[in-house]
Amino acid sequence: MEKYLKDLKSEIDRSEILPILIDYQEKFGFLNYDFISALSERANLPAGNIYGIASFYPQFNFSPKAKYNIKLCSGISCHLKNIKELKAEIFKHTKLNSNGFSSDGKYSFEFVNCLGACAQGPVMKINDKHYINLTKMDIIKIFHELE
Amino acid sequence: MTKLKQEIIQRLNTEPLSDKFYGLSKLNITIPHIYCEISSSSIIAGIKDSIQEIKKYFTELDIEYKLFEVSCKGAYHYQPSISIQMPGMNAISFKNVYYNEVTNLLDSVLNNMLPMNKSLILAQYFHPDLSSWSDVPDIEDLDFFRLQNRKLLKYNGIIQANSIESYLEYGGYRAFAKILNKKTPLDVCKELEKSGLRGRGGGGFKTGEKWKLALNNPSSKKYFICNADESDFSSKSGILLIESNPHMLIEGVLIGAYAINASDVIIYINNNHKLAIERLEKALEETLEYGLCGEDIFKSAINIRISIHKGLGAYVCGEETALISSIEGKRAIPKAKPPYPSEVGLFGYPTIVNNSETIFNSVLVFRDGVDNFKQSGTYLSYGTKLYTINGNADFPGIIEMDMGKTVNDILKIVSLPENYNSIKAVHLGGPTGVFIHPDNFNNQITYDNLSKGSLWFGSGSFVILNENNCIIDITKYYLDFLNKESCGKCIPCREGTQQLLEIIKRITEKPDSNIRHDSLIRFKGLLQLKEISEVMQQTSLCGLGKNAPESVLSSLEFFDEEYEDHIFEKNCKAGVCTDLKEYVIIVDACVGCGICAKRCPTDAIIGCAKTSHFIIQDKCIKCGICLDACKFDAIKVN
Repeated sequence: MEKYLKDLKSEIDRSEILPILIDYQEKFGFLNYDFISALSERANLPAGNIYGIASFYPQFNFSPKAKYNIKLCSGISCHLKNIKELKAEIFKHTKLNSNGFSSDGKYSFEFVNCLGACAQGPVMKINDKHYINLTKMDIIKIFHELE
Repeated sequence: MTKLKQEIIQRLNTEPLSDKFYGLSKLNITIPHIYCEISSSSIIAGIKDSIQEIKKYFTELDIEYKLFEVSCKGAYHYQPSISIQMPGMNAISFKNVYYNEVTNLLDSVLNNMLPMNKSLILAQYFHPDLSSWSDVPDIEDLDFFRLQNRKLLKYNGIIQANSIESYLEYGGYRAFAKILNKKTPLDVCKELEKSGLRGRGGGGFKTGEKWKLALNNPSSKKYFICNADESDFSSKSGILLIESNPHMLIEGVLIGAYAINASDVIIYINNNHKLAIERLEKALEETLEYGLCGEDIFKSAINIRISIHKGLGAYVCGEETALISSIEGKRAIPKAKPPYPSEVGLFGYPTIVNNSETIFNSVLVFRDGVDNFKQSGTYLSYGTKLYTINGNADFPGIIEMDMGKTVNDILKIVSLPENYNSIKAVHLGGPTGVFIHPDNFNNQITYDNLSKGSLWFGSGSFVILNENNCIIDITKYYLDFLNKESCGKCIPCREGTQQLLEIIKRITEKPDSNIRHDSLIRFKGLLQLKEISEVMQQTSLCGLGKNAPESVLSSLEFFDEEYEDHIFEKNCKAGVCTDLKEYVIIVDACVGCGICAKRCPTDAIIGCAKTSHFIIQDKCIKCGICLDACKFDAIKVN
């Protein structure tokens, strides 16, 4: 993080904050308080303001993601293909809690709005890999391989 | 550098556009040309694996070839799709070419034969001077393409998105050059006004009028913003356009910036659309190199700087004041209008915000002329509109239709005739859209609700629903989305979406207690739905709150039977609202084999072997797996 801050300008315009936050999350996976407060000093804004910008968008995380971050598409096409059962199947195999994290810290789960492959649904994304045309059998296979 | 610029100026002013257009089929080809359609959705479908396979094939056999990355046709069901042109032959397009099909396909095509697997063949691009493939239809004859009016999508599947040369070849930047040479900003605004182009984002405000307002503002600094956020997740048309033709967007914003005398252009794009951003950045670099944007464009003393602002999708960013707040680095919360952004906008300067599809259309107006543009569409709604086809469509994808076409016209393209009867409804316009009953399928889709019964397209998302979909479930789904996306500034929207959602949830779930007048309480919710909706429509600050109850109201109007079914019979005909049901094990019938407990995805069934089992209702997700699994009919549904 310190290296990242070094590369940043010493004075940041308010309009540059969102792109910086996006960039930071892409590199480090989540936003931490130290970074937000460091950013607030440079932008000459209260840290609460920066947190306010970040918390407006649900895509920002404030805690690290698990080793395997499961994203299940809940776009309208996938929603119509009964992803409820798939979700239950995923929860069963990964032993996720209701908050979407597994107790061993290996898996985390979230719904995303749309992954963009509406003809190939249901779609799931684990880290950077996409899985298309999912069935229950596929899920059993995928998580068997990940174990 | 200057020499290159001179060359471009000459090319833009002299080179005539060829009238004849043969798609990918080109003369004077000596080695096989392979065209791979790359878009964000085809990457997920697996085009990259196919490309790898193609490269491997050619290097192994040591054959010379050329591989091009072209844009996507917009037909999701054909992905991953590649086209091949052999020397002396028409270019031929293939569909669903997964990596395991590549070797067989290339084996036969390189020998000028059709592949054994006929289901791969899509169509050919007919050219009179090349020999054609027998028994392969012309791409223009395919119903999917023939019934559309593809103007914005004309070069999709043909143009190379990552090359300015490709865009110049198909008439790119000529409209901008013409304007720069011959027209004043006022001329541009007037011409656009004459064309009757209206904002495609949803507001439907006349673009020419809007630009004129900003032009007449004497401020020294103005901004032109392109909203390429595509915040409605169910509509992909804008992103497809940018992915396939980023230069056209740049030409459009250049025209817009020139028309309002703005020196700064900001393209606001959702960071999740990686491919679109990558291609836009590449395209911007190229235009700078060619001297088409930046300082002193073509020695006309006009400076236009274009920058890409990465944002994150928020549905409320469709509202221009919220988008401006987001760019300024604040929470994306809309402001009360007036003052309109054309007076006081970004950083207090006059600002124009246009949807990306509007900007693409403005290029068409100036490239093909006003009269040509006005030929498509109907009175007061000219031009074409892109629709994103989702749901139970046989051919999902993105299609382009004239304004004023009916739902039936679209269904003819995207649905097989035998499936017509099973279509229960169409949901048009994304989260704030409406349900359309089959009785209204013959009504025109336009901007104006003046003519009786005309429909409004919203974001252009077109979801086909059949017998297996529950209208109330879809309403709940969209309300849930809107409730999350509501910015929380004004109370009618923040509380209204929450309350609407609660009421709908209560209807789709099994009542907690078995009090006898429970159905009446649930029915009272229906009356409250209408009341809340009315308040929201009249008092919300921005379009999100005003249009949020549209789905609810239209579903109440046309599908009240389904509501009654849910409330009084506690029955969902489509079988989607499983929360209405309750699975119980009949103690006497259960032999304790334990199969149901093993199959249950949520471990909701407990019990010892050879004794009767029990379902924990709080854990049960009503998937019905245990019902199928039980061989002794010991599970019943309440």
